[in-house]
Amino acid sequence: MKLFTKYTRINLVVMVIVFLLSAASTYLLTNYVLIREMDGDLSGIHRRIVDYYTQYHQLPAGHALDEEQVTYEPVPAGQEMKGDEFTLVTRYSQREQKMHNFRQIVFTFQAGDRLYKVTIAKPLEGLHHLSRAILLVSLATILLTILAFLLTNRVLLRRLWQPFYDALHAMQHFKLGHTKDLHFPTTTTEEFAFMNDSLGMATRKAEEDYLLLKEFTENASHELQTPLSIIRSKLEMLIQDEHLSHHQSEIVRSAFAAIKKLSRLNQSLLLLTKISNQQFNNLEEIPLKEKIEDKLQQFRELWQTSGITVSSRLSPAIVHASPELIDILLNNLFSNASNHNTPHGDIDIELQPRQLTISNTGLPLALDPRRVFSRFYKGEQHTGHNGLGLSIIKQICEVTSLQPAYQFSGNRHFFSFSW
Amino acid sequence: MKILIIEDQQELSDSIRAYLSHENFTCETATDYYAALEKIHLYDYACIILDINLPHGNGLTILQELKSDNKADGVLIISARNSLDDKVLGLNLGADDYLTKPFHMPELAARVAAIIRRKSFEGRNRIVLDKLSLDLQEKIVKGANGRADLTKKEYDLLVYFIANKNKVITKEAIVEHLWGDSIDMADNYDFIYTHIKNLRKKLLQAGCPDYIRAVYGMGYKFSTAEGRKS
Repeated sequence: MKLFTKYTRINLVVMVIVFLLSAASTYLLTNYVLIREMDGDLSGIHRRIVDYYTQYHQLPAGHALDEEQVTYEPVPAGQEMKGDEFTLVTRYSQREQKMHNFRQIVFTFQAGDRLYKVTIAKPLEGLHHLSRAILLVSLATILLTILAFLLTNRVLLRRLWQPFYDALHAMQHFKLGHTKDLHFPTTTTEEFAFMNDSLGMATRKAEEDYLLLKEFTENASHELQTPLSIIRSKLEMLIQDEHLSHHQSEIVRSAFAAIKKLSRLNQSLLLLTKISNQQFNNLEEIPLKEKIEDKLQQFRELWQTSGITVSSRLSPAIVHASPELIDILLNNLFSNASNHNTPHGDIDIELQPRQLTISNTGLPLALDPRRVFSRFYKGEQHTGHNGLGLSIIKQICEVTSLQPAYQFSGNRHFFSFSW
Repeated sequence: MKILIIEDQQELSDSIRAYLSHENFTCETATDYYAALEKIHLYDYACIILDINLPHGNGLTILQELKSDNKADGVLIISARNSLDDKVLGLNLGADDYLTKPFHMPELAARVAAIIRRKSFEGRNRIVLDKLSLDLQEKIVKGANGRADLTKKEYDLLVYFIANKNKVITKEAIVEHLWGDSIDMADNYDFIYTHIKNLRKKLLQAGCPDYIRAVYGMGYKFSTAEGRKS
């Protein structure tokens, strides 16, 4: 869920609750104040009746035009009430000709020797209108506020958060080795400026480390080339000796094999750095079918000797890539399919206009699909290989936008590439 | 014929000199930029083996110097930098070939031999060795009994052997020469056996003695009768 949506959702709920509560309390409070007021009025009438009686010695008549309805009811002595009794009642309103809410005061009054129970009722019309008004005003306020809130969010918040989204966008396109293209927009918001600074620092640090590591790999590989050359040349001089015993020959042969492995590993590491350095950027439209046919020709002898049968179904396909990288890709794929095959196994190559699939028989054990393309991953410790072949393939796929996939089914390993 | 080895690593320079020196070649060495400049100005060489990274200067500058002097010396660049740009740059500056470290000595010898042949026998590209004669232009091989019909791989193999006459060549070096180093093959080089066997058979049929000898556990050695005696 987006930050805005989340924020808006919580805010809306809180706002509605607060408005309802405030509407309710306004209503109750106003109601309370008005009733107190009305009770004051009713007490005033009570006092006026008492004053009137004291002055004229008779009870005042209820005026027909007054909205108060006053009734006198003689009650037997001994039923005096202690004070005024206020109640809310529903009774018939003469004026409106219907049942209506009234506030009434009941008290007993000693007029000479007679005891009267006096009831004065005043209609609550005002309150009725008031509550309706409060309800309407509250609803209108809620709606207006929500509307204003949403509009503000849309315009103001989006504008306020814009630097954040810009930074987010920049980070999304962040790629090690390309930090030059990374620009965080300048902002006057302190928090965002701080965030941008931190992000900038972190990415610069990552870039620096990455470059250092790359440089290290590159330099180490280069520095290794010379001693490797020396060792190999010395061994090649050594075997010119006619008097080498079989045992010594054996030793030299192992040394040769180890040198070969080491120099191959070195070359692979160099190649990986070169690919990630984008040193192969001569892109061309490559007719893949013809390329594969050439490659098949190159590998034919190798396969014949190891008794591997190869079948291929090739349809014309064009891939936009560096020719050298495609060559390396095919070499690695074909080498892998041969090296990790079973004796007298087979290799199947299928080329469709936008997909290349190579499958081969092999150990009946699926490779870990998540790690198969990572550096130095070896399925079942095939010591003859350095485990960089597939990682080179992956790197090539990354720079040529091919999608690699690995699958194991029916005792066959499938490597497919689509573009 | 003189060969100049410009390489700052004494050890490697020594190996190259020892490997290439035989009846026809004398090797001189230079281990830094100024020594190399001095030598190329003073003498003419059939081939110069040039390392790019040198103390006090760059090998490519030496190459430029050589070309501005209008010298006809063949140049083989050997470099630790297997970068396409370096390769293209070197070849554009007039180098004849480019070899990446670490290389096999027989490969270096074959490249040097090819450069010298191109430079010295313009057009008349022939190798005559014992009973064998090769027309490098037409790629025709003849023995005492006439023509030997070789496949492309067998022919390449023969030229490679001749450039490394009397030297033990590892199977690994042969594989790399014939198939390139891009094919990552298992440590099984049996498949070159077929090519060697066929080449031997065809040369015998063409009336040549058996020049190729297997060296136990190691590889092969090509030598003519007089070579074997020495």
